Amino acid sequence: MIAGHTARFDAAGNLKPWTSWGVALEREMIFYQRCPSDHGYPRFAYVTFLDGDWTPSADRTDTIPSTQAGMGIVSYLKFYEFSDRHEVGYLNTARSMGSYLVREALTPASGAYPAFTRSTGTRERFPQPADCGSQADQPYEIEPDKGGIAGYALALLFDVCGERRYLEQALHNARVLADNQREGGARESPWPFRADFRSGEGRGPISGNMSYILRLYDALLAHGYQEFSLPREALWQWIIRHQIPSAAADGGLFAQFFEDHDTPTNRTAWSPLNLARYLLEGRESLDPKWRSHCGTLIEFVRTNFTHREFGVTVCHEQDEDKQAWGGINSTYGAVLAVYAKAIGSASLAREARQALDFTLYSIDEQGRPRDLAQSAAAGGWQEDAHTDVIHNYVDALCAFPEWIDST
Amino acid sequence: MVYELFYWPGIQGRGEFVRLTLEEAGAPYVDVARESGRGAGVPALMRFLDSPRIERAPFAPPFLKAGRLLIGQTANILQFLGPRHGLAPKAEGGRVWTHELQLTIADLVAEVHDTHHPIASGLYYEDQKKEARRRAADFLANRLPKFLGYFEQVLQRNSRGDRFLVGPKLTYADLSAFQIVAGLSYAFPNAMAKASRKYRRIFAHHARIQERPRIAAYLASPRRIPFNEDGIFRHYPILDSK
Repeated sequence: MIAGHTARFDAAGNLKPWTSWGVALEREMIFYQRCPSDHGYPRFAYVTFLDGDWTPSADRTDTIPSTQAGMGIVSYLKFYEFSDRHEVGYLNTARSMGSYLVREALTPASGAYPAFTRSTGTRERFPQPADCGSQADQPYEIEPDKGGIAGYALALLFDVCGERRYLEQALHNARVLADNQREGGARESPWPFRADFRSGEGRGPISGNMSYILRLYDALLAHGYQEFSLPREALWQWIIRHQIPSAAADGGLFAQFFEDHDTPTNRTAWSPLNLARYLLEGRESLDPKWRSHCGTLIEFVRTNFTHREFGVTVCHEQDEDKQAWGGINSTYGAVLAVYAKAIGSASLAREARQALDFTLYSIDEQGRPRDLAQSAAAGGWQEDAHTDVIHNYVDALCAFPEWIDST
Repeated sequence: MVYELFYWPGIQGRGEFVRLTLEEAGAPYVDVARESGRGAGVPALMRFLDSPRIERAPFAPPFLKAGRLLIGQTANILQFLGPRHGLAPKAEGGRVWTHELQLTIADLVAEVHDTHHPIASGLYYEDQKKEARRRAADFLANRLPKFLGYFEQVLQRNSRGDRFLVGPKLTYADLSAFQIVAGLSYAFPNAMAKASRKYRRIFAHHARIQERPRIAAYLASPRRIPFNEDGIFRHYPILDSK
């Protein structure tokens, strides 16, 4: 059994999905469209720990606004596009998440990171108070890279719905990031992993997720904001000169991403995979060596962060967490699928498909996902159950449209 | 000619009055911001608003591109479309009267919007809830009866019968009046349930329009965006009457 479903295998012993991707994903999206709203937002936009009946966890009041809602916006916009823009409910859910970020989840309007989207917070506070930092953040800390995720998502949202407040927040996040950007080097990234938003004092020299700040700069440059040209180039040079080569060595520059961890050397799979995704989207227009760079990043992840469950190669999150959570394993499957398509590798495509089939088991008959296949019931971390999962299936389906129906 | 309608993609809003007329006319059109790809989506809409090269730029969506013409303002668009598609009277007096009714509907739409955004459009509803409650209460007590009463009277006094607002045939103003009743019924179901007992003609008019084959087909299609809490007609139970 995997997550309550009987595991299905083909004659060669390969895991098969419990139902087609199309059916499972549609059920999940319909289930989430029925999420209760409080304070003007669907509950999953601002509560991180929910069970399968939309009940918030009694003992987990901590939240992760930027990753959860930011990746949620990305997921909903991709699914909206994928379904030919027929279901505007998906667009409007993305708008609700955007509005939550802009209206409720900002730092105070002063200090080194003023009015910046929060990395962590506390449930049921509207807006989040100044000292809302939770998980492994200190009360007044933010994570600069999460401002990149939120800002990029808001810029995308503006492009689809045209509401200027989203663009304005994206622009503001980018300006704050540019003001705090440093050169970076072999032992530090252009921003620390955490910073006290009042003083700017950093904690943790390396922040592995640089690709979403790059995406944010790119999005604003596309809107004509040339002020981000130099910061973007500086960040890109750091990635090319230091971060990608690090993946061919010990991967130390891919340390730190998850909000609930604070070991400075804790490497994760999320950041190299998302950098690979960025390179795969742009290819030659971004980086003449995209092929070898993607290969380096993916190989780093395969070597350090994969293990096997039910005969399937699945991906775990980080040095400090060896479980194949829905977010990271679907990220792995999606990036590997797009890479396999790009280089024409049938074996990597099979591996990608299997990883995604595995996480699909976490969706039950009613469309309720679990954050981890081993979890006892539906629900859990909403970003692992849903918001950082859906866009991965869409990416994989864009590479292999035939996967939607096959069982 | 294929019309190009430019309006925000996630809401009915003011664009819906134009969509209804295009649908009833059976006119080919592209809802540009709801399409994807090159030259489509919201970026295409924003280009018309932001480009310094457009001499007669619209103030805001909706706007319609008809060949070389770029037409803004809902009532103005409908005034353009109506005669071209048999949805406005031929006589000048009838056309002006139809336009007058449409402008009155525009006034009503602005007042409906202000029930949930009485202070500023740039603020969220949640930032002006208290004021919204006061505004909505006044709207339901005083303004809604005045507007519904007025359109009831227009139907009653139409010398060609009470099937349509203007003369014996459907006009774009009828489609807009349909949308008004539909939207108000979504936003204020309790208040409108009470109103339906008093303003029978305008509710019967709404039911008739709803059954027109092209309108019925449109309402059942994915082209009709469901009412939601991002548009003009929003359902906040606290703003409705008990």
